[in-house]
Amino acid sequence: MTALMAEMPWDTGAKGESFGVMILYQKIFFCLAMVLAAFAFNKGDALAGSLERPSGEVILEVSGNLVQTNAPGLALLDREQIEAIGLKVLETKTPWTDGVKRFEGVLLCDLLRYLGAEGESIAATALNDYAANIPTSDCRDYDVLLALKMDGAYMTVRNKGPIWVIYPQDHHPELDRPVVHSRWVWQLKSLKVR
Amino acid sequence: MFSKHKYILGLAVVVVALLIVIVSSFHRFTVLQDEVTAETRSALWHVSQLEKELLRFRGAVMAYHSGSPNTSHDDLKQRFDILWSRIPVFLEGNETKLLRRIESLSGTLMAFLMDLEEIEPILDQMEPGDDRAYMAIENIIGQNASRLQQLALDVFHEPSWFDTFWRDRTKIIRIESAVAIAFFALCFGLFIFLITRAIQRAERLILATKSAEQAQRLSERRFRDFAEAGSDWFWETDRDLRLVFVSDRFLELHGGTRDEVLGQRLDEVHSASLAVEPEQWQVYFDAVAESVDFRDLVHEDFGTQGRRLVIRSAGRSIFDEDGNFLGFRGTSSDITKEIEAREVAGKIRDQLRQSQKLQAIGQLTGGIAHDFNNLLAVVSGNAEVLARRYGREDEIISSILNAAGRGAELTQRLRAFSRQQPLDPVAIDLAELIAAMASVFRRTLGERMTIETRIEPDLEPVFADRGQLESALLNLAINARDAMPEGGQLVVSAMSSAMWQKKLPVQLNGRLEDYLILALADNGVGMAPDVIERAFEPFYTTKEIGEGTGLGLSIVYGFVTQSGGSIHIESSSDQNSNQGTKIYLFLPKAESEFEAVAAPCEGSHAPVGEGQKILVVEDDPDVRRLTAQLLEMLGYEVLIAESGEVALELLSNDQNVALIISDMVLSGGLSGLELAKAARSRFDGLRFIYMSGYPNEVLRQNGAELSDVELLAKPFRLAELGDKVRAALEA
Repeated sequence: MTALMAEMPWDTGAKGESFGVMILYQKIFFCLAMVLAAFAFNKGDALAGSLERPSGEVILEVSGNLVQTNAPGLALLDREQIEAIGLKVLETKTPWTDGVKRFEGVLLCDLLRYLGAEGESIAATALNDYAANIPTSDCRDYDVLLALKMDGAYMTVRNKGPIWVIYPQDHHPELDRPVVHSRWVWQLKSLKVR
Repeated sequence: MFSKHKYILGLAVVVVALLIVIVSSFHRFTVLQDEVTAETRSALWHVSQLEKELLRFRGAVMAYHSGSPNTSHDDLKQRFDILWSRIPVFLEGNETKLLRRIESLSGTLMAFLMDLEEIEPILDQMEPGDDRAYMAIENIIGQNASRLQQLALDVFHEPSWFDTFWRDRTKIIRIESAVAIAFFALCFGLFIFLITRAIQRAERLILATKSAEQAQRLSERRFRDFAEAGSDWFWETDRDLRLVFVSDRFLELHGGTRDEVLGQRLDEVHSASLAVEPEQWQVYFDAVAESVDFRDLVHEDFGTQGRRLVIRSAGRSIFDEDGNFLGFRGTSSDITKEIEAREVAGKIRDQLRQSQKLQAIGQLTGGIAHDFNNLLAVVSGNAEVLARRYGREDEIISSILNAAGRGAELTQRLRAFSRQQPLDPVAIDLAELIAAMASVFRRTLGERMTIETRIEPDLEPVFADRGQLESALLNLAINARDAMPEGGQLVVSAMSSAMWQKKLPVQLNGRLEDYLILALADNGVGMAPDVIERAFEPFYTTKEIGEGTGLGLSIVYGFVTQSGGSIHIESSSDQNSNQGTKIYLFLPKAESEFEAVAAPCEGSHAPVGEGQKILVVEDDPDVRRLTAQLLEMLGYEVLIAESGEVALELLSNDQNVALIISDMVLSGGLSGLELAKAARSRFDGLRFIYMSGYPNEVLRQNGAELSDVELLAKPFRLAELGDKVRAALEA
C-alpha cells in the first residue's frame, strides 16, 4: 500500500515577510478565502471542476460518495488521468487466461483515495452491463488493481479492456473462489461507491 | 495387564474417526454436487452470455440499420467488440477448461470467429439503411445463433465432459476413501489382533492360574496325605491352650467329632489320663508355664471302644513376629503297641526264665529218677526172684515189693514232671472225656462243688495220653476244690482256638489253630502272682505239710508240655475281684489220619517164652544180670554182652539168637542203634528191643530209625518185659 503525503500549497511563502505586511496579506487572503468558501458552498455543482476534466476518451466513470468530481456527482476519467494516479504492476494467473500475466494499472484504493471516495462497497459495471459488488475491505486487505495493460499492451474491448479488475490471486490463494472470481469485472465501465 | 477399557477406548476412537470420515465425505460429496451444479450453470452461463451479446449485437445492427439516433456506428462497433471478446473466454483459462472438452465447441467457435472476421469489413462500411450489409450480417448472426443454441444443448446433454469433470473432482475423494478404508482395515486388523492377543493372554493367565491352583491343591493334598497316612497326628492350640486344629488320625483313635474336640484344652481332652497320672503331665504344665517346647509327654488315654491308648506328645511353642506367644503346635504318636510289645516281651522273658528253670529242675529230677530207677529195678527184680522162690505171701518180700513199687511210682511222677514218662498218645474226643470225667469229679469233689461243663460242639479230637490227661484233670479239679473250702463252682470247658480272643499268653510249638483249649475255672481264693510263678515247681506247695506232695501241678505241667501243648494260669488273689483261678490247657489236635489207639491193657500175667535165644546187651552189670534173670524166669534162653562189640562177636558164634534186647546207651564204641544196624546187615530177621530210661528223648532224636522197633522204658516190671518180648518175637 502506498501512502501519499498531500502537500498544502498555502503553507509556503510566509517566512521572511515583515509583520505589518504579513498582517495585511493575511487580511486580504482571509477575506478572499471567505468569499471563495461562501461561493463554493453555495454553488457546489458549479465548482465540481476541482477535478480536471478528461482530455481524452472517458474510459471510467466513478459515481457515488466521493469528493473529487469533474461532472455533477461524477468523476469522469480518461486513461491519462488514471495512469497519473500512479501505476502499479501485478503478476498473477487468472481463471480466464493461460499462464502468469503481467498486469499494469492503478490500485483501486489509490483511485478511491484520489477521488476522496468513501463507502462500504463499490458497484462495478461492465460495458455489457455485467455488474458486481466489490466490498471496500477488499481494497484495504488486497492490492486490487484496475489493470490497463496486460503483458505490456493496453487491453482492448475484444481483450477484456479497457480496464480489468485484477485480484492478486497468486499471492493470496484464499481469493481463488467463485465469489471473488465474480468481482474480476472486465471491460469495466463504471464504479459506484456506496 | 489385560485392560478392557483400553480396547473400548481404542474402538471408540476408531469408530468416531470412521464417523467423521463418513460425514465429511458425505459433506464433501454434497459440496461437490453443488460445485458440479455450479460448473454446469457456469458453462451454460458463458454460452448464454455469448448468445446474449450476439442478440444485443443483432439488436444494435437492427437499430443502426433503421437509423435509430441512440445507436451510433461507434456503439455498433463496441457491441461487435464485446461480442468478439466473449469468444476468447472459451479458448483459454481454467474457468472454461472443462467446456473445451465438448467436441462441438471449438468447431462452433472457430466458425463463429471466422464469421465475425467476415462481418467486420462489412460492418466498418455499413451505413444506416444499407439493406445488403444488414441482410448479410443478419444472415450470419442467424446461422451462429442456431449454432450457439445447439452448443447450449450440447453443454446440457454432453455427458463426456461432465463425467470427466466428475471423475476429476471425485478422484481425490476416492483416494481419500481408499486411504480411509485401508486405515480402518488396518485399525480393525490391529484391534482384532490386540483383542486376540489379549484373549490369548487372558487364557494363558487363566490356564496358569488354574495349573497353579491345581499344583497348590496337589501339594496341599500331598501333605494332607502325608499327615493322614502317618500313624502320628497333628494338633495346634491357641494362646489359651485350646485346640484349634487336630488331624483326622486323632479323631480316629480318640473318638468323637472334630467339633467336640476343638476348643478343649489338651489336658482336658486327655482328662482320663490326667486324673490317673498327674505327674506325667507336669512336663506339659511346666512347658505351658514357660511357653517353651516340650517333648516325650507320655500319657495314657481311652480311645474308641474304651481301648487303652498310650500316647507320646511333643509340642513346639509358636510366636508371632512380635514374639507374642500364640500357642503350641505339635504331634502325638500312638505308642500303645510298643508299650504293649515291651510288656509282652517282659512276660515272655519271664515265661522263658520260668520254663528254663523248670527244665533245669526237670533234668535234675530226671537224672535222679533214672539212677534211682536202676536201683529200684534191681531191688524189685531181686524181690520178684525171691517171690518166685519163696512165694508172694512172705511178708518181707511183699514189703520189699511194695516199697519198690512206691519208689517206682515216685520216680514215675518225677519223670512225668521232667517229661520223661512214657506216653501213649491217642486221639481223644474232649466232649466224651469231660462227660466221662464229670461223674468222677462229682464223686471225688463232694457235694459242695457244683460242676458245670461247657463244651463247644463238633470239636476235633486232641492227641494225648488218655490216662495222663484224665489224671491231670482230676489233679486240677482237686486243686480247685482245695481253693474253695466253702464250696463253689467249677467250670470245665472245651473250646476251639477260635474262641480265644485274648493275647496268647504262652508259647506254642505250632500255630494256635492246631490246638484246642481245655479250661478249668473256679471261683476260689485264687493265687498271688509269686505263687503263680512257682506253681509248677516240683515239691512247691501252699498246702500244709502232709496235705499235698507239691507234685500235682508239676506233673500236669510235665505231661502237657511233653504232649506238645502248653499250660497257662490266670488267677488273682484279690479278694474283691473274686476272680478265682482259671487254668488253660492248650492241647494239640490229633491229625486226622491218626487212628485212635485203644488204651493198652495191663496184663497181670507175664507171657511165657518157649526157649528162644535172647541176647541182652547192657553195660550196667546189675541191670544186665536182673534182665537176664527175668528173661530166664519167663522161659527164654539168655546170652549176655556188656558192649556192642562183644554182642557182635557172640552173634557171629551163635546163629540162633532170635532177639536182642539192648540198652540205647552203651559204654564202648557202638551205641545201641549202631549195633542194631551192624547186626541186621549180617543177620536177617533179627528182632530188637531197646531199653531206655529216657524213651521219649530217644524217640524224638531217632524217631525215623526206630519206627519199627519196640521201646522198653526202664524200670520195667516183669509183665511189661514179657509183653514186649513176646510182641517182638511174634511180629
